[in-house]
Amino acid sequence: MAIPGDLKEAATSFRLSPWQRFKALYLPATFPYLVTGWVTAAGGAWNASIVAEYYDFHGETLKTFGLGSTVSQAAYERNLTLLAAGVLLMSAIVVVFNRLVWKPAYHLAHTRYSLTK
Amino acid sequence: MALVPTAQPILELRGVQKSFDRGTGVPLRVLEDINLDIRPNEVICLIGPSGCGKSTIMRIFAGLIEPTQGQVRYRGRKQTGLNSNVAIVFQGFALYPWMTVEANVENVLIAKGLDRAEIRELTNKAIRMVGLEGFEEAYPRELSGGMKQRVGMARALSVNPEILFMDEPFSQVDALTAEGLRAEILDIWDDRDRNPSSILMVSHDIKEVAYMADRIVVLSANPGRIRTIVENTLPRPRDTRSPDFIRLVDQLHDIITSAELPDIQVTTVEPSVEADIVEPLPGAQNADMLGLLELLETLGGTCDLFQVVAHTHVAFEKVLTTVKGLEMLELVDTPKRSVELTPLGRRFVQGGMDERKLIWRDQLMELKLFRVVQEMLELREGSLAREELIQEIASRLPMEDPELTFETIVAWGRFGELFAYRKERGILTFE
Repeated sequence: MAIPGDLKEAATSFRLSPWQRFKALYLPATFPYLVTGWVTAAGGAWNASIVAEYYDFHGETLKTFGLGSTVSQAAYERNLTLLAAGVLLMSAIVVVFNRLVWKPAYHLAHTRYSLTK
Repeated sequence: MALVPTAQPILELRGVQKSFDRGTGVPLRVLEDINLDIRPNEVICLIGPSGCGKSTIMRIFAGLIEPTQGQVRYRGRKQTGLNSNVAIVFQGFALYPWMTVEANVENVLIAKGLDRAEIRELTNKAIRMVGLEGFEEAYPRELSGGMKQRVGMARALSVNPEILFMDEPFSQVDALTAEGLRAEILDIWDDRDRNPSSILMVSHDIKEVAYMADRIVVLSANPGRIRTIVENTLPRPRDTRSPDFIRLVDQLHDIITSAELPDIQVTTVEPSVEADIVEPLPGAQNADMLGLLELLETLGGTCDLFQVVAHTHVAFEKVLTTVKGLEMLELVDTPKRSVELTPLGRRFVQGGMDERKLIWRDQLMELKLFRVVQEMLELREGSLAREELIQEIASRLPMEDPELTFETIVAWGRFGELFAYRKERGILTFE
């Protein structure tokens, strides 16, 4: 959906500066789409970082300290208790993040930043 | 000879012409030779049918649009770019939905580069002026149309404009509220010690302009021209029920209708003789045309044009378009200000669906434009591309919007079962 022409015309006629126009119009108007983009990107990025924390390369293991490497190592060493704890913690982080960040963000996108309501 | 300094207009248009490039190669001319000024301490209203360019004139005055030809002058000097002495109240309010009432007003003051304290003070003043106290923290979606337009007014007034521009400001506000807002804005304007000095308003409501304006600029369409300027010297505050007021409204009605529905008929004489003229099609909708015919039938075959507006609660402009459509098909006649069924129109309303379609089809074929479409269809063996027809329309009716005309051709043709049109393929075929 495009930004309504009269909102842009109002910005022009009241001489909003380019920065103010961005802050007052373009950023809020695109917020709902930005949230969707952030959610998708954040999920992808976390997946990638988990994989990257523990990596087998030509028989050599490259690893760093972190939840991803702990889980990968536990799986590799068949340490089921540690593996379960790691996966549980991961799930908990996802749930908490959804509740505290994405859900309120989506709510805002559908209420305050909606151009149709 | 005394020089009166206030006689100098604030803003002037001199020989303004405006065309829009529609990408079809044929530019659409919307304004032709406009000379108009806005004087100090006046309310000036622009009124006319759709397509007369009234909003475009306002935008050229404001510097939002550059004229193709001619000049805009502010206090005698050529104006380039936006005029910072005007502020606009928009038809659709144009409020930022994510900002509170207060923030919407503050936003335009921030743009003026004022400091925090001044912004607060001017915001409060503007909000008080339009009676929005207590709603500072509300969001636009929580407000009614009338309240939203108050925010639009507060925002425009907060920058202390010398001229307030209003683009059909009350067309999306319910009638009763609009009446109150008109009186309030006149009260604000009436205070000689402060801005706005003048108001320029675009309207399609004849009563509204008679109530508000000192001068009423009546425009005609295709391309937009100034038809006449009516001076309104009725004393304020104006009583909309006084005989003088009603006389003025009648006079305005007559000016507008005589322009839009001339009494001298050319088409009724010998259809085949001047059959080569392609007339522009009014964008009348089938359902509206049928509805109006039914209404006329129940009213005994004739009705005053403004009674139609009162009966149907449909905007005057739309009624006018519908009447024009029916008149073109010779189903109604328009002596003076009334609409009446022609004998053919009467047969049409009283007839069954088959008879109606037959009459409709015959009447369409009286129109050169429909014959052109049919010839093209025959030439293309019954399958005509939308683009090709639009090109043809654009070259035959350069003043019209070819896409709108195309849509009207399709809608009218469908009802007469002349053509079928598949939107997804963009191909017109015989029914």
